Amino acid sequence: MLAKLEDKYVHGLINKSMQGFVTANHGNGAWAEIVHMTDIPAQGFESMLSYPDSMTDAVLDAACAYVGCTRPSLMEDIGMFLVTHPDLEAVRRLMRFGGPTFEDFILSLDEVHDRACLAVPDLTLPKISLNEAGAGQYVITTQWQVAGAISLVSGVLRAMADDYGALVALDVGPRLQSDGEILETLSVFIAEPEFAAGRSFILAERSA
Amino acid sequence: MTGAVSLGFDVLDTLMPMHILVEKSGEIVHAGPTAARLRPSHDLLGMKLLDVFNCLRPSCDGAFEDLRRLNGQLLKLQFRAAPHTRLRGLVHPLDGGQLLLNLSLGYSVVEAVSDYALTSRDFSHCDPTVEMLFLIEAKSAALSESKKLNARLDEAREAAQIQAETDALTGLHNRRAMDQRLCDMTQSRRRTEFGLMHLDLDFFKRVNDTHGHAAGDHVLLKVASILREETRSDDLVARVGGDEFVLIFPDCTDVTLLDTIAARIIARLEEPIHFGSEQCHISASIGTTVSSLYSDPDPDRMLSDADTALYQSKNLGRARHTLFKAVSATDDAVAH
Repeated sequence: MLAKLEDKYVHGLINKSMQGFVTANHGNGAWAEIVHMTDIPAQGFESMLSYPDSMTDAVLDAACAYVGCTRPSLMEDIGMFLVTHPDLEAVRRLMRFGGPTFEDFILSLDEVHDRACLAVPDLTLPKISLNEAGAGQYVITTQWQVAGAISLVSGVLRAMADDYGALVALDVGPRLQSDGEILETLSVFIAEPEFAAGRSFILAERSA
Repeated sequence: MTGAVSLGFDVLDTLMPMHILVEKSGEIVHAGPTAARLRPSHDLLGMKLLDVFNCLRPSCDGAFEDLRRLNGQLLKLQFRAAPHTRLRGLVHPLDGGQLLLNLSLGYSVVEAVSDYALTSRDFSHCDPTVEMLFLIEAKSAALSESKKLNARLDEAREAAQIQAETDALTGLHNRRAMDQRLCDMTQSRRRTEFGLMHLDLDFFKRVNDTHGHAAGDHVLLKVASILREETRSDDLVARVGGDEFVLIFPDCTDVTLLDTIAARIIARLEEPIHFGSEQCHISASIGTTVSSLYSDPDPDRMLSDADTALYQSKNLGRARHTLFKAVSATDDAVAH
């Protein structure tokens, strides 16, 4: 059983994206069912409020039960959804600020937590650390209060590899726990940085 | 000064990709790779610096020599040709009369990055421009989420307010809404003249007793729709008790007109109301007062006067309308 500290909160942006994932992929009925299975607010999450992390766990468990999948596979799907769904183009763009190549992007992952805090001060994303393990090989470690962060990152990386046109192999490693925070690892191998034509990214998109 | 370093163009290009080197004559002889992306090379190389840029601050009357003296100061420059991008600059005179000018995009960053299709490779790794663009986008995304939340809260607040001012059964306003409206209309600053009617259904208790509460509710709904039909959209119709209603007619103190309206309402309420196979018969007693009777209209006082007139209607045999008659037109006379 995972340790749950009462004073830990998960930002509404994260909870709202889980809600967005469920309604986009499984419909409003699925979300209503999940609300019914848990004690989350009936009107759903607000993206600019925070919620106890037990709610996030409860929603993830309920969504897994509803969809009939494991937490890692659900998290991976949410990760891909965040980068690829047309309504969330802003997320893809913010990711692409990580750098001009997929490898630059990987190297920027250890700044993601701080970058998010600069934009939305109470948004605490998983802390990501990065170790080089050879040419084009990295081991990514996530540290977060909710289990499955690494699979979320894995889904994001898979989608971002497509976005950059890179060919990568991802492999989720074992899970560790320390002081209520969960440590998870992922090994990344960039087999071909320019395998296919990626999607375009223009640094400054002028708003109309 | 001791310990000078000499740097090649390749080093300058890497460290300061937005620099420009100017000859003693004022001609541009070299532009860093990012500076070169801002203009076609024939509009830059070989051109006089001050023909390409207008120096906005400090003011500089086109004399290149002036620029040399601005060593170390903030320069605000602007391209003379479109796009008229504004740039920040810093000059440093070199030996032999050359001038090194380093540029930065300052607050025109979003515009310029878009106008010249700049990419992250156009900025030095130590230049926070890309981080700045990231923050601008991240902040605007966060702000738009906040705005959505505000819009939803505003909607919810409005819905709650409407609910708080609505009678649940009939959808008419309730006493709270009536109090608020009377208060608004009698406030000295926003004072509006108006007519005030207090209406009490006659024989309604008999409907409830004979036909049951469902019939009573049905009759109240019918009454509500008649009152709505017989008033203007700006008039306020409130259900203030079980079978008691208050009607407010803004900008209407014409007692003859109000008497006609009251008579019409009574006539319509007296039409039989069908409930299933049964017929319900009601009527109404009405008392009316108008704000023009008072030098300083007070809601409680006016409601009480309309009520007095209503009870006069009841005492005279119900199913009628009575206008409140002040003993005299002045407040004092009415009060005593």
